[in-house]
Amino acid sequence: MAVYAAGSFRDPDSAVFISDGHVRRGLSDRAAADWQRLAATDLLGRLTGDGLLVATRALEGDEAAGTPPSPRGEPWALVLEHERIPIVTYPYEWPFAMLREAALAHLDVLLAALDEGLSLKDGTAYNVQFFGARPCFVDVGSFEPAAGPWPGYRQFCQTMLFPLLVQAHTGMPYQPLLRGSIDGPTPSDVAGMFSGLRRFRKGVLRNVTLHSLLERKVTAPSERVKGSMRSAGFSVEVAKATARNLRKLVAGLEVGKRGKVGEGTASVWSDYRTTCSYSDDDAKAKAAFVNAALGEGPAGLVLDLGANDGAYSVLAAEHGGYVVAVDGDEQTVDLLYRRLRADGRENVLPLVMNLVDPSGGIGWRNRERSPFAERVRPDVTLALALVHHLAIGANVPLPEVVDWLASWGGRLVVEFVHGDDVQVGRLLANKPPGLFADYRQEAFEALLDARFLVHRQETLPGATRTLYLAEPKP
Amino acid sequence: MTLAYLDPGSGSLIISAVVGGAAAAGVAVKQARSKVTGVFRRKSKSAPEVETPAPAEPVMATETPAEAVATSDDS
Repeated sequence: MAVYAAGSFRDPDSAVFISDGHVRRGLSDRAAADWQRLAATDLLGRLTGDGLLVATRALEGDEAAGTPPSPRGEPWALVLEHERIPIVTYPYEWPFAMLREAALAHLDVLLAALDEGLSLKDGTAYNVQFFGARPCFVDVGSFEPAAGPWPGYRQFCQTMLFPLLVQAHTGMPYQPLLRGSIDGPTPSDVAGMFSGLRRFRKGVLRNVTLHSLLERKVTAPSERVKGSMRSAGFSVEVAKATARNLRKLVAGLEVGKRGKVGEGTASVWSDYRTTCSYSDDDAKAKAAFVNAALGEGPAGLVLDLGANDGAYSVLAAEHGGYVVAVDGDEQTVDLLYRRLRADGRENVLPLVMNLVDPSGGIGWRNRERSPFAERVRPDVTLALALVHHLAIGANVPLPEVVDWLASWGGRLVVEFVHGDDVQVGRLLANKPPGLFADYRQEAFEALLDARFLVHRQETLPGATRTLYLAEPKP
Repeated sequence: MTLAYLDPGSGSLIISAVVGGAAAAGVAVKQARSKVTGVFRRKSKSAPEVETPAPAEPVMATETPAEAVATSDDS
């Protein structure tokens, strides 16, 4: 049984489908010829070896049996098989440094291709996926013979460069921009954010200001412009110069002082570990409980909800599986990503997401990019110091919170912070008195018992926090 | 309406060359002006010309997909 990936229809020459758990890509005659050109170089081996390109091979003979016709009803000329990405993510779930790494990886693949007389037909951030902290180019169907300027430049601007410029130069996190439109903001959209002296910030004048101007002035079809630029002598060298300059620009973009990890301006959460109310005893007991819980069954995929600085994500990864660390604070996740990247970790995937407003389906028929909950089926869900933020901070009814925890399907390690804990007191101080009478340990336990089998529970030495290991009832 | 038929990728191609280098920039603009007639649209205060209504389906079949392919992505 083969099912086409809903987000893979835009290129008529190639589409990805899942066949019995295998990720495969059908190629048209034209795309198959491009693949042969790629396979004839040593690019494939080199880029795959560097971890920049998803491992790919062409299927032979009977291997491709059962391949469905293309979404347009044509037979494919050739079928490729890709290495599977553990968890598919999208640029609006990545913190700043992660998108920057994705952009650099994309440009590195382009530069390597140009050296071999090949180019990439597009330039979108959705071409890149992550193995933990490592970016990896996955759109093998994008390679084509190089000729003239880089046709992917516009998409590169809209889905990677502009979002990075916006955050680096204005401080506004770009995730809402990318989540709001699948193709990203246009040059004209972004030009409005760079009026006055801001247009002289690094990379803005050409890529944004002039770009938005020409966008409105040049009305010839792009195929004609491409042709005339080629005949005017614009060769592959122009594309190379474009890619090199873009790489230099992107590598130099930074938010505030984040380049110096630990010295940057702190967000509410980025220095949580050093300012929170945990005692050492509590922290030790908590880590021991989590460790034991993870060791008590499969932990191939762990979802750490409200991961903060990722301390428990990293601990969970020690059990050999893959960990998805989700937190709503962009700066905290950004710092976590930088640490993971510096350590070369490929088994912890940090993501930015407001858990009361997670990624939904966007694009064509709301299916092109799927909701977060449809992409993650964890063996274990960690919800440490999270429930009070949902129930009190975000007013989510406690039964809803427990339902939601059960919806992930795996074992659950959850922490309930009692009503008399100092952190809960701080949250309650923001609300009118008497609103959260149901926020009690007995009420939480009753809800938990209704949906889970609680294997174990332990109240930390400080006596204001209780941990539970639970399994969903069949 | 007519805006939907304009190809936003054209200006981007020229800018990508500009990003490639200042020297290329001059050539790009000069070449674009001289080689491609009608590249630069005159600014007009009047309403944009309304395209004649499609006489038959081929208009959709030939125009729209061609643009969609040229400017869209795969992932």
